[in-house]
Amino acid sequence: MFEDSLQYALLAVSWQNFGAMLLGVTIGLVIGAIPGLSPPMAIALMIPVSFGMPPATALIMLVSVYAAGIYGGSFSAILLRTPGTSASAASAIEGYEMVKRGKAIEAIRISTFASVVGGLISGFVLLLMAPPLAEVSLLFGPAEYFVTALLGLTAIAAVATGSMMKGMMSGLLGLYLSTVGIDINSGIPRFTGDMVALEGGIGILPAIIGLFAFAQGMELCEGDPRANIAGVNKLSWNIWPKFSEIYQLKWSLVRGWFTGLVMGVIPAAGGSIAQWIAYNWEIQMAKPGDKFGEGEPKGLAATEASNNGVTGTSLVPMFVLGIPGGISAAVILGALSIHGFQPGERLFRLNPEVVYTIMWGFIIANLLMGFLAIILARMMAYLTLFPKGVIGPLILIFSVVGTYAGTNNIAEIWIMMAFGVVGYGMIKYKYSPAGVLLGIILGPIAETGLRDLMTVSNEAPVSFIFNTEEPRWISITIILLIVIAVYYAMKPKPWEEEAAIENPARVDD
Amino acid sequence: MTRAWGEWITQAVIILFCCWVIWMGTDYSFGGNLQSNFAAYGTILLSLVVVYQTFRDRAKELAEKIEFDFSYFGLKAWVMAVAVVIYVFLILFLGYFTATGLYLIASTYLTGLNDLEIVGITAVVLIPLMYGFFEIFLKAGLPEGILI
Repeated sequence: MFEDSLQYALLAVSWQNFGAMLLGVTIGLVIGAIPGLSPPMAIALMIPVSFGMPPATALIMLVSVYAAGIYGGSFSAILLRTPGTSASAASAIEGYEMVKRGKAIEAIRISTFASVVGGLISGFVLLLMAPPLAEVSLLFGPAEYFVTALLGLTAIAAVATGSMMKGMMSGLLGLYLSTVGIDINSGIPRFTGDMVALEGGIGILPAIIGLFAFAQGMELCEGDPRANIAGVNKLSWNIWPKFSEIYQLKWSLVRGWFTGLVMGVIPAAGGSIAQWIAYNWEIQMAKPGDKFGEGEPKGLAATEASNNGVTGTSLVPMFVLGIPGGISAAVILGALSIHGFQPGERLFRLNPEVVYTIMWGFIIANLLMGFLAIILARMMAYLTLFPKGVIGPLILIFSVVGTYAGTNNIAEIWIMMAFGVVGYGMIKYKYSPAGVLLGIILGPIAETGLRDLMTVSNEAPVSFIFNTEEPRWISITIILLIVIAVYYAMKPKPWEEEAAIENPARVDD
Repeated sequence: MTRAWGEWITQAVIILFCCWVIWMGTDYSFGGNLQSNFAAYGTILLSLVVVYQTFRDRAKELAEKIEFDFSYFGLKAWVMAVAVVIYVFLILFLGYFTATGLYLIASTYLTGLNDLEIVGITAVVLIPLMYGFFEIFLKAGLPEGILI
């Protein structure tokens, strides 16, 4: 399988793909470094840009934005104690203490090495794990598709900061919104309110841009317009890794990478959770003389290794089952759908040139990220100073132009703005915009599954799944996972309290 | 009004919306209302759980009063959203690039950043970049009004 994929490694570095990768990594680094801007927002705004590109090139650009965005978030976390993304919140603790002790360059060096290597390992795990796991989707029938969609929604709700109930309600709102438009089975318009613009259904693009970019733009317009200003201009920048430094941190790095890889595969867990688990693990492994909380490099190495270790493996459940491993992966899933692809075994069988090129592109993008970070480090440090009063309006402008460029339809701008305003309200009242998006994306799969399930089960889906003579074991397993996810979500999450101290914003990776 | 009352009113609105979805769905044949009904009934159930949780916690953390901030500072995000509506109409009337320049200057002032240098540099760098990217590279055909 791996040997077969090697032929696509060359495709990933064609001039076109390499150019897209370069653009994606640069945008990811820049947006990640600016506090308040998140990778899902960057990916959302880049989707319209990707329309003029072949699908593999487009998705390479988007996964490059994702990988670089997570790493870029560490800059503001370390230099300003203001995480650029929620996945860097734990890095702010030790990283900023190192900066205060005059070790800013050392902190950035550790972060760069841990992130680049973490992303590379994660990319290879994605390449090795996803194709064989995709075979599982061959065993799926209508019941399995429906309960898998529910598992995706539950998993997103389980990690939603705030209320699990509100996270699940957000997912159900998304499922409902996915039914708006003409029903393909009966030809009857549903919930359109006689508006022609809604007859084709709610587009994924305006929903993504509205929920993740416009809402965030509105949020950035609040408060002090100069809030990002701080002093980081006295630093010199040579962030090439030093072997002695890395060798001392080897076990912290390994633990961080391992945590990231495992947490990535768990649906919806993401870097926000992985970093806290890695950090807590590191504290438990502390030796006499380690000074956690006072600028301990081991803590920073573990958190930075884990949050980029997640990036590749969070794409595994997305490619295999259509369940994203995190919020950025949910937005990438939307982009995959916009470009006309459905996750699962068929994607690997019918479009291997697309899926393997994306995976190789992701791996190479991580390498490129390391080189670009070395070149752009100084600029990225200055970007952390960019005032919110300009960034907010810019995001709103890009939301409008991005939606129009992607759809050539003014009506879609109004739909995008409606999603933006709703998304802003959801953020304020602890509902989950990611849940709504996932509901819209998974909605058509869930609806087809539900309708077919009702037909094959003679309108008795529960007795069909739990039939004692021929039980649907996969569905039962997935239902069990949903129950576990709900149980786990009901329990208090230790990282939420810690995360609230570092980053009052939502989970946004 | 306490936060508990705010939550109850929100959940009541959500439940009413779900009832509307179920009622609308009665017109849809061939299982066209299956998913919307599933979502609506599920939401009503979860809403009732939230109502119960709020009732349980009403004397503790939900007892505090909701502070409405109707000052310009508190409403700034909404003012910006309204400004975007005007901006979209301006795009159709003046053309994309002229409207964007005007919006950028106006909106940064609306956020309270009265720094002409930063706004000017951003506009000078951004607008030609956007033109090159969207018009030339993507051929998006951005709207033109009486100007560009």
